[in-house]
Amino acid sequence: MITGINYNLTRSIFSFVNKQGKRINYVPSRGYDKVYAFKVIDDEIICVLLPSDKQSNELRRRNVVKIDDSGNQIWRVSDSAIWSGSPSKTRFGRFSGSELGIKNWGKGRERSSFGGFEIDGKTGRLALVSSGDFVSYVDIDTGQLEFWYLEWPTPE
Amino acid sequence: MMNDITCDSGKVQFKVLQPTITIPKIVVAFKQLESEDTIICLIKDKHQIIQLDHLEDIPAQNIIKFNDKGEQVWKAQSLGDVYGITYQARRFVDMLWEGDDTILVDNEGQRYLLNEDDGSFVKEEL
Repeated sequence: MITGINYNLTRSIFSFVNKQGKRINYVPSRGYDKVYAFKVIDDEIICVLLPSDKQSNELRRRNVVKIDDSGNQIWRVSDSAIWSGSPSKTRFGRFSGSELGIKNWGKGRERSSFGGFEIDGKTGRLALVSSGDFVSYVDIDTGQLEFWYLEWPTPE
Repeated sequence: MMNDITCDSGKVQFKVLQPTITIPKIVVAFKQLESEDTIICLIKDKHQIIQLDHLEDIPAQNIIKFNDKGEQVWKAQSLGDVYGITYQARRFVDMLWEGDDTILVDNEGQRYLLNEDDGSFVKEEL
Protein backbone atom coordinates (compact mmCIF):
# COMPACT_ATOMS: atom_id res chain seq x y z
CA MET A 1 0.00 0.00 0.00
CA ILE A 2 1.31 3.41 -0.97
CA THR A 3 0.70 6.00 1.76
CA GLY A 4 2.00 9.31 3.00
CA ILE A 5 1.83 11.05 -0.35
CA ASN A 6 3.36 14.53 -0.43
CA TYR A 7 2.54 16.42 -3.60
CA ASN A 8 3.28 19.97 -4.66
CA LEU A 9 2.67 20.92 -8.26
CA THR A 10 4.49 24.23 -8.29
CA ARG A 11 7.55 22.83 -6.55
CA SER A 12 7.50 19.63 -8.59
CA ILE A 13 7.53 17.49 -5.45
CA PHE A 14 6.02 14.03 -5.57
CA SER A 15 6.97 11.61 -2.84
CA PHE A 16 5.31 8.70 -1.09
CA VAL A 17 5.95 5.95 1.45
CA ASN A 18 6.09 2.44 0.01
CA LYS A 19 5.06 -0.78 1.68
CA GLN A 20 8.54 -1.23 3.15
CA GLY A 21 8.03 2.09 4.93
CA LYS A 22 10.65 3.91 2.86
CA ARG A 23 9.96 7.39 1.50
CA ILE A 24 10.47 7.55 -2.25
CA ASN A 25 11.02 10.87 -4.03
CA TYR A 26 9.97 10.35 -7.60
CA VAL A 27 11.71 12.57 -10.13
CA PRO A 28 10.74 12.15 -13.80
CA SER A 29 13.42 11.34 -16.32
CA ARG A 30 15.22 14.03 -18.29
CA GLY A 31 12.99 15.98 -20.67
CA TYR A 32 10.05 16.11 -18.29
CA ASP A 33 9.58 18.90 -15.79
CA LYS A 34 7.23 17.38 -13.23
CA VAL A 35 4.41 15.01 -12.39
CA TYR A 36 1.32 16.86 -13.54
CA ALA A 37 -1.29 14.28 -12.53
CA PHE A 38 -1.13 10.86 -10.97
CA LYS A 39 -3.29 7.93 -10.03
CA VAL A 40 -2.39 5.34 -7.41
CA ILE A 41 -3.51 1.82 -8.19
CA ASP A 42 -2.65 -0.59 -5.36
CA ASP A 43 1.15 -0.60 -5.15
CA GLU A 44 1.75 1.17 -8.44
CA ILE A 45 1.27 4.71 -9.73
CA ILE A 46 0.41 6.03 -13.18
CA CYS A 47 1.94 9.48 -13.70
CA VAL A 48 1.16 12.06 -16.37
CA LEU A 49 4.40 13.97 -16.87
CA LEU A 50 4.75 17.54 -18.07
CA PRO A 51 7.24 17.57 -20.96
CA SER A 52 9.77 20.35 -21.21
CA ASP A 53 9.76 22.44 -24.37
CA LYS A 54 12.84 20.72 -25.68
CA GLN A 55 11.49 17.20 -25.32
CA SER A 56 11.40 15.24 -28.57
CA ASN A 57 8.03 14.92 -30.25
CA GLU A 58 7.83 11.18 -29.69
CA LEU A 59 8.52 11.49 -25.99
CA ARG A 60 6.09 14.40 -25.69
CA ARG A 61 3.36 12.12 -27.00
CA ARG A 62 4.46 9.34 -24.66
CA ASN A 63 4.36 11.36 -21.43
CA VAL A 64 2.54 8.83 -19.24
CA VAL A 65 4.46 6.27 -17.21
CA LYS A 66 3.61 3.63 -14.65
CA ILE A 67 6.05 3.26 -11.77
CA ASP A 68 6.36 0.69 -9.02
CA ASP A 69 6.53 1.56 -5.34
CA SER A 70 10.29 2.02 -5.55
CA GLY A 71 9.87 4.63 -8.28
CA ASN A 72 11.08 2.36 -11.09
CA GLN A 73 9.35 2.61 -14.43
CA ILE A 74 7.09 -0.32 -15.42
CA TRP A 75 5.90 1.04 -18.75
CA ARG A 76 5.70 4.17 -20.86
CA VAL A 77 2.48 4.73 -22.74
CA SER A 78 2.40 3.64 -26.37
CA ASP A 79 2.73 6.28 -29.06
CA SER A 80 -0.72 7.30 -30.21
CA ALA A 81 0.65 8.59 -33.50
CA ILE A 82 1.78 5.17 -34.64
CA TRP A 83 -1.34 3.33 -33.58
CA SER A 84 -2.42 1.14 -36.46
CA GLY A 85 -5.83 -0.22 -35.59
CA SER A 86 -8.69 -0.26 -38.01
CA PRO A 87 -10.26 3.18 -38.48
CA SER A 88 -13.48 1.50 -39.52
CA LYS A 89 -13.96 0.27 -35.97
CA THR A 90 -12.83 3.44 -34.31
CA ARG A 91 -14.16 6.73 -33.08
CA PHE A 92 -11.70 8.80 -31.19
CA GLY A 93 -12.34 10.68 -28.05
CA ARG A 94 -15.36 12.88 -27.79
CA PHE A 95 -15.86 13.20 -31.51
CA SER A 96 -18.32 10.36 -31.46
CA GLY A 97 -19.93 9.55 -34.75
CA SER A 98 -17.52 11.50 -36.87
CA GLU A 99 -14.24 10.89 -38.63
CA LEU A 100 -12.78 14.09 -37.24
CA GLY A 101 -10.45 12.32 -34.88
CA ILE A 102 -8.97 10.23 -37.62
CA LYS A 103 -8.52 13.20 -39.92
CA ASN A 104 -6.67 15.09 -37.22
CA TRP A 105 -4.41 12.20 -36.47
CA GLY A 106 -1.33 13.45 -38.31
CA LYS A 107 0.70 16.62 -38.30
CA GLY A 108 -1.24 18.65 -35.76
CA ARG A 109 -0.76 16.02 -33.08
CA GLU A 110 2.97 15.61 -33.40
CA ARG A 111 3.64 17.46 -30.15
CA SER A 112 0.38 16.65 -28.40
CA SER A 113 1.00 15.23 -24.95
CA PHE A 114 -1.50 13.78 -22.50
CA GLY A 115 -2.83 16.11 -19.84
CA GLY A 116 -4.89 14.03 -17.45
CA PHE A 117 -7.16 11.15 -16.65
CA GLU A 118 -10.75 10.35 -17.29
CA ILE A 119 -12.76 7.41 -16.02
CA ASP A 120 -15.40 5.93 -18.28
CA GLY A 121 -18.46 6.04 -16.05
CA LYS A 122 -20.02 2.99 -17.59
CA THR A 123 -17.11 0.59 -17.81
CA GLY A 124 -14.95 2.07 -15.05
CA ARG A 125 -12.01 1.96 -17.43
CA LEU A 126 -9.19 4.46 -17.26
CA ALA A 127 -8.65 6.80 -20.17
CA LEU A 128 -6.14 9.51 -20.96
CA VAL A 129 -7.03 12.95 -22.26
CA SER A 130 -4.82 14.81 -24.70
CA SER A 131 -5.15 18.15 -26.40
CA GLY A 132 -8.23 18.77 -28.45
CA ASP A 133 -10.20 16.66 -25.97
CA PHE A 134 -9.00 13.40 -27.43
CA VAL A 135 -9.71 10.56 -25.05
CA SER A 136 -8.08 7.15 -25.29
CA TYR A 137 -8.42 4.09 -23.14
CA VAL A 138 -5.16 2.88 -21.73
CA ASP A 139 -4.40 -0.68 -20.70
CA ILE A 140 -3.15 -0.15 -17.14
CA ASP A 141 -1.05 -3.33 -17.23
CA THR A 142 0.86 -2.58 -20.43
CA GLY A 143 0.46 1.13 -21.30
CA GLN A 144 -1.05 0.26 -24.67
CA LEU A 145 -3.61 2.74 -25.95
CA GLU A 146 -6.83 1.30 -27.19
CA PHE A 147 -9.52 2.93 -29.29
CA TRP A 148 -12.12 0.24 -29.67
CA TYR A 149 -15.14 2.08 -28.38
CA LEU A 150 -17.63 3.82 -30.61
CA GLU A 151 -18.78 6.70 -28.45
CA TRP A 152 -17.44 8.71 -25.57
CA PRO A 153 -18.60 8.43 -22.99
CA THR A 154 -19.98 5.02 -23.72
CA PRO A 155 -23.78 5.07 -23.65
CA GLU A 156 -25.48 4.10 -20.41
CA MET B 1 -7.36 3.79 4.92
CA MET B 2 -7.37 6.18 1.99
CA ASN B 3 -6.30 4.46 -1.18
CA ASP B 4 -6.33 4.85 -4.93
CA ILE B 5 -5.54 8.55 -4.64
CA THR B 6 -5.86 10.44 -7.90
CA CYS B 7 -4.66 14.01 -8.41
CA ASP B 8 -5.51 15.50 -11.77
CA SER B 9 -5.48 19.21 -12.62
CA GLY B 10 -5.97 20.09 -9.00
CA LYS B 11 -8.83 17.67 -8.47
CA VAL B 12 -7.98 15.23 -5.71
CA GLN B 13 -9.97 12.04 -5.27
CA PHE B 14 -9.50 8.95 -3.15
CA LYS B 15 -11.34 5.83 -2.22
CA VAL B 16 -11.94 4.56 1.27
CA LEU B 17 -14.43 1.81 0.58
CA GLN B 18 -16.98 3.25 -1.79
CA PRO B 19 -17.85 5.69 -3.16
CA THR B 20 -14.95 7.79 -4.36
CA ILE B 21 -14.45 10.97 -2.32
CA THR B 22 -13.57 14.17 -4.14
CA ILE B 23 -12.06 17.18 -2.36
CA PRO B 24 -14.35 19.97 -3.61
CA LYS B 25 -11.55 22.48 -4.17
CA ILE B 26 -8.63 23.09 -6.48
CA VAL B 27 -5.70 21.56 -4.64
CA VAL B 28 -2.22 22.79 -5.43
CA ALA B 29 -0.33 20.72 -2.89
CA PHE B 30 -1.26 18.15 -0.32
CA LYS B 31 0.18 15.92 2.36
CA GLN B 32 -1.46 12.63 3.23
CA LEU B 33 -0.82 11.92 6.90
CA GLU B 34 0.30 8.35 7.40
CA SER B 35 -0.71 8.08 11.03
CA GLU B 36 -4.34 9.03 10.50
CA ASP B 37 -6.68 9.00 7.57
CA THR B 38 -6.42 12.68 6.80
CA ILE B 39 -5.05 14.92 4.12
CA ILE B 40 -3.82 18.53 4.48
CA CYS B 41 -4.38 20.62 1.37
CA LEU B 42 -3.14 23.94 0.01
CA ILE B 43 -6.16 25.33 -1.82
CA LYS B 44 -6.61 27.67 -4.71
CA ASP B 45 -10.16 28.68 -5.23
CA LYS B 46 -11.30 30.49 -8.29
CA HIS B 47 -9.64 29.46 -11.49
CA GLN B 48 -8.70 26.01 -12.52
CA ILE B 49 -5.30 27.07 -13.83
CA ILE B 50 -2.92 25.88 -11.19
CA GLN B 51 -0.63 28.79 -10.61
CA LEU B 52 -0.37 30.87 -7.53
CA ASP B 53 0.69 34.22 -8.90
CA HIS B 54 -2.75 35.81 -8.71
CA LEU B 55 -3.25 36.41 -5.02
CA GLU B 56 -6.85 37.49 -5.54
CA ASP B 57 -7.64 33.91 -6.53
CA ILE B 58 -6.40 32.57 -3.22
CA PRO B 59 -8.81 32.53 -0.28
CA ALA B 60 -7.51 33.99 2.99
CA GLN B 61 -7.95 30.61 4.66
CA ASN B 62 -6.54 28.16 2.18
CA ILE B 63 -4.97 25.45 4.32
CA ILE B 64 -7.58 22.80 5.07
CA LYS B 65 -7.40 19.33 6.61
CA PHE B 66 -9.92 16.77 5.40
CA ASN B 67 -10.77 13.38 6.84
CA ASP B 68 -11.37 10.19 4.90
CA LYS B 69 -14.99 11.15 4.33
CA GLY B 70 -13.92 14.36 2.64
CA GLU B 71 -15.13 16.39 5.63
CA GLN B 72 -13.21 19.36 6.93
CA VAL B 73 -11.29 18.62 10.13
CA TRP B 74 -9.92 22.14 10.52
CA LYS B 75 -9.20 25.20 8.46
CA ALA B 76 -6.14 27.25 9.36
CA GLN B 77 -6.74 30.85 10.40
CA SER B 78 -5.92 33.58 7.94
CA LEU B 79 -2.60 35.41 8.25
CA GLY B 80 -4.50 38.64 8.85
CA ASP B 81 -6.43 37.14 11.76
CA VAL B 82 -3.26 35.91 13.44
CA TYR B 83 -0.82 38.73 12.73
CA GLY B 84 -3.05 41.76 12.23
CA ILE B 85 -3.86 44.25 9.54
CA THR B 86 -0.41 44.38 7.97
CA TYR B 87 -0.79 40.70 7.08
CA GLN B 88 -4.31 40.94 5.73
CA ALA B 89 -3.25 40.84 2.10
CA ARG B 90 -0.81 37.99 2.57
CA ARG B 91 -1.62 34.47 1.42
CA PHE B 92 -0.04 31.08 1.79
CA VAL B 93 1.34 30.15 -1.61
CA ASP B 94 3.45 27.12 -0.86
CA MET B 95 3.61 24.07 1.36
CA LEU B 96 6.90 22.26 1.94
CA TRP B 97 8.08 19.28 3.90
CA GLU B 98 11.26 19.16 5.88
CA GLY B 99 11.58 15.89 7.72
CA ASP B 100 8.29 15.48 9.54
CA ASP B 101 7.65 19.23 9.59
CA THR B 102 5.18 20.93 7.33
CA ILE B 103 6.26 24.44 6.37
CA LEU B 104 3.89 27.03 4.92
CA VAL B 105 5.27 29.90 2.87
CA ASP B 106 3.45 33.17 2.23
CA ASN B 107 3.72 35.41 -0.81
CA GLU B 108 6.42 37.52 0.88
CA GLY B 109 8.56 34.44 1.42
CA GLN B 110 7.96 34.27 5.18
CA ARG B 111 7.91 30.68 6.45
CA TYR B 112 5.65 29.23 9.13
CA LEU B 113 5.66 25.88 10.91
CA LEU B 114 2.24 24.22 10.75
CA ASN B 115 0.77 22.29 13.66
CA GLU B 116 -0.91 19.40 11.85
CA ASP B 117 -3.19 18.61 14.78
CA ASP B 118 -5.09 21.87 14.93
CA GLY B 119 -4.02 24.02 11.98
CA SER B 120 -2.24 26.63 14.06
CA PHE B 121 1.06 27.99 12.78
CA VAL B 122 4.04 29.95 14.04
CA LYS B 123 6.49 32.15 12.20
CA GLU B 124 9.91 30.72 11.64
CA GLU B 125 12.41 32.74 13.65
CA LEU B 126 15.73 33.28 11.92
